[in-house]
Amino acid sequence: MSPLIFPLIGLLVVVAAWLHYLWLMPREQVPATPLVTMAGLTLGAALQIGGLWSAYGGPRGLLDSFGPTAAIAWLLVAAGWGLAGFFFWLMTQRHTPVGQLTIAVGEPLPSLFARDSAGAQVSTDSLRGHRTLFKLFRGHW
Amino acid sequence: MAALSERGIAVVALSKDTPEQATLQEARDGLQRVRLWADPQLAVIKSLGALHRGAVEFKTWLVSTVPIGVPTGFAEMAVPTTLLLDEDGVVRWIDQADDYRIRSDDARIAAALEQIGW
Repeated sequence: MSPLIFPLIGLLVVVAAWLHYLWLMPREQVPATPLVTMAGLTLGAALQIGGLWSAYGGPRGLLDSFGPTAAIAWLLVAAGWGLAGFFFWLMTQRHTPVGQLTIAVGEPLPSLFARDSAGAQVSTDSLRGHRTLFKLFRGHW
Repeated sequence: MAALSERGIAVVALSKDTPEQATLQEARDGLQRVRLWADPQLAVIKSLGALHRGAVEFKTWLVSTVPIGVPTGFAEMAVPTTLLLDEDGVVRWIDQADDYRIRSDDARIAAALEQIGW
């Protein structure tokens, strides 16, 4: 069996786990703890390294292997582990500092100024006169 | 969004984007019922105590409906926060996400509207 099989399958599993997660995002269905995604990434990474280990007969074989096939296998593993590691790193960045708001329920929104999409100055005072859902969000991306 | 319109509730969304970026987003996302406000100096965001320092910033491309994002660095931006304001500008409900991926969705807002009798 080609030593590329399991590194490739593992990479496809990692990519599929990522795409599943990204597919959930615009549908607002991202779970707080994305267990399915994390399991898929872990499985994919394990398939890659396990397949490479098996194909070359252990760590000595891995170190001794040198050639185009081995290089491609290592690149596949690097891509898979990179994508999986990137996701787990992103999970460490997800928390936001809450509880520091200067306003509370029952208080009026203070007069603050921003710009609309045409560049004209707008004020939070202009929100009075009708009910408003006022959202603060991270940005256009 | 349609449910908010039906109840006569306006939607205004503010971020650290520039007016130009807000214009691009309006066109890209077809935002006809949402007014985007730009706060590139973070003045409103800081005044409200909703600042997130060192947040991961992304550049995103939409492939079909799947957003593919690449981190471009760390930046200051808003903590995702949702307020319901009455006709007098008084805050009637606040929701703030301690996880930027999980924000006020339609179901949560609908429950809030029920809770405050709107």
